[in-house]
Amino acid sequence: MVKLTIDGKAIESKEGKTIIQAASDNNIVIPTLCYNEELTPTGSCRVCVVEVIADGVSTLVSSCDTPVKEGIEVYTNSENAIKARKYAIQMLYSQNSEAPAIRALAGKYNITEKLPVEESECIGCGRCYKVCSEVVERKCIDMSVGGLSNMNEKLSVKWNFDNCIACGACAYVCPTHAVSIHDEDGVRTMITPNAKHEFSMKKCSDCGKYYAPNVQIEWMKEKTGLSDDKFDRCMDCR
Amino acid sequence: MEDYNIFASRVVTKNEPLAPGHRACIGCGEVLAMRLAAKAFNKNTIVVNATGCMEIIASQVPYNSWRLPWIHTLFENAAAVASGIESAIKVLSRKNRIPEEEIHVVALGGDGATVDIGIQALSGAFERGHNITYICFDNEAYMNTGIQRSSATPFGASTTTSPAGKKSIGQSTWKKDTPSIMVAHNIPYVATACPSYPFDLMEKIEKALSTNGPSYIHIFSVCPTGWRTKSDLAIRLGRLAVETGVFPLYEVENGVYKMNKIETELKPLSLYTKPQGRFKHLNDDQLSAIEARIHSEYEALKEKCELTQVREDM
Repeated sequence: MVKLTIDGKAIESKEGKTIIQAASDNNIVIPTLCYNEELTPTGSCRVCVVEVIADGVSTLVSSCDTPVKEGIEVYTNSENAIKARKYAIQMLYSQNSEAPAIRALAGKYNITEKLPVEESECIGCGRCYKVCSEVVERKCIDMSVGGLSNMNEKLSVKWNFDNCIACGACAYVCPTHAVSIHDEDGVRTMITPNAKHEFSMKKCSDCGKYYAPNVQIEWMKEKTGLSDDKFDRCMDCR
Repeated sequence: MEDYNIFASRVVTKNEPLAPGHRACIGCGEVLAMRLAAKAFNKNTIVVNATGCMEIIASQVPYNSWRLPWIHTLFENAAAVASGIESAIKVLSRKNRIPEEEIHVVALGGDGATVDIGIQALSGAFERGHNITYICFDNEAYMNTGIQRSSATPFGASTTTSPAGKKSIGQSTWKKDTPSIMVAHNIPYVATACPSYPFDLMEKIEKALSTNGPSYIHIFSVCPTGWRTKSDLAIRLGRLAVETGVFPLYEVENGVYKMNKIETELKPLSLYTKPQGRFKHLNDDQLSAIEARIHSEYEALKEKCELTQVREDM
């Protein structure tokens, strides 16, 4: 166990946990945009920035990917932390002022002015990349640069649709809805920041409802090793 | 509505504010709705729970399933207690007695506590504009006391206080349209949800919590015990209720209606009523009369969506 203080509150945490996890276990909420507890952290949005004082030296770190250490003092709302967090949110707000998640953060921290950066729906948080490689295990999203530290380079997130199974996990985790899926007339359309792709869907043999993309069913067959007839019908008719 | 099947469910938080080991019936759709709703709550949430199924199953002395601050209220005053808590937080933070942070106040009630007994307190809380979220788990009767009818019981359903027989069709009045009553309070957010569509439900809860001002969510909860169905049908019946038009999923943001799932062709009502013992006495004529009214209400709702969206665009 590691002993540390967060906002003056003495807490104990398991070794290897990150600051945001230790805070969350003790009901201290640190705002964040790109962090998802089921994925490995990307540390790209910088909203979860906190001030850490270790051996008398103060540093600003992102709490989602910094592990807890013995004796550190963490301040989630110190003057420096708030200043850095406001800057991070202002940067996100300048890129995409439409997304509800960003608007909520900007509203909370009274940010109305925009910085002169290129606007884009995708803010390069990397959640879609993580979910595709870690949870779906298809690795069909390719991400070259991202995050606040690489703001000067052009952001590039690419979907390799040959490998994609149109499961929609990336659309679900996207905090700005830059990726989305739409089902219509037996076709699932995936809309990503720079490309669109259509996938044909399978019809239920009983009720005639289109229930999942064909490529996804092939992947499920491969993963589970079940026979073809197990996938003929939709969830309701099974 | 997006169909995020298989993988997206693995990125949903594994944190369970509602602990397992509670005493809900086998196959309960209501406790599933409450678990999903609780997953969407922030850690800084205070739960106010009116008397009802969800209160008795989660808090039999000396146990409690909630891992969040939780208070039990009477049938009639969940909304009043929630408004009190919200006001107290405001005052204490103004006087610097508690640190200034966002604390959500959520009131939970069954259909009896919301639609019948608690509607006065709820209406008052919404009229005063407290920043609370009220969630109604609608299982269409007073289930924990022995299936007595409420004003949310649908027409034709047989309950112990509206039994079907030679002279009676069962419940003789139409289900009260509670979401519309809440919309009439001019509150910023009203939505209907169903645990058969879990991602939609959690998204709506998050939206309601982040709304500044009162918000109301009406959740359709299948009750195998009271509806006299098999215990493995809760999810399927919820889905059928949406697909037959019995319980359309929609949300109303600042007076603008939006349907989350529009059925181009509604499924026949008998698919929904047949597995349920409470509807087994209905003959084909009665069923088609009920179906006709459901279809006309569905069309009216679609029209409302179009009209309010046009008004918004102007």
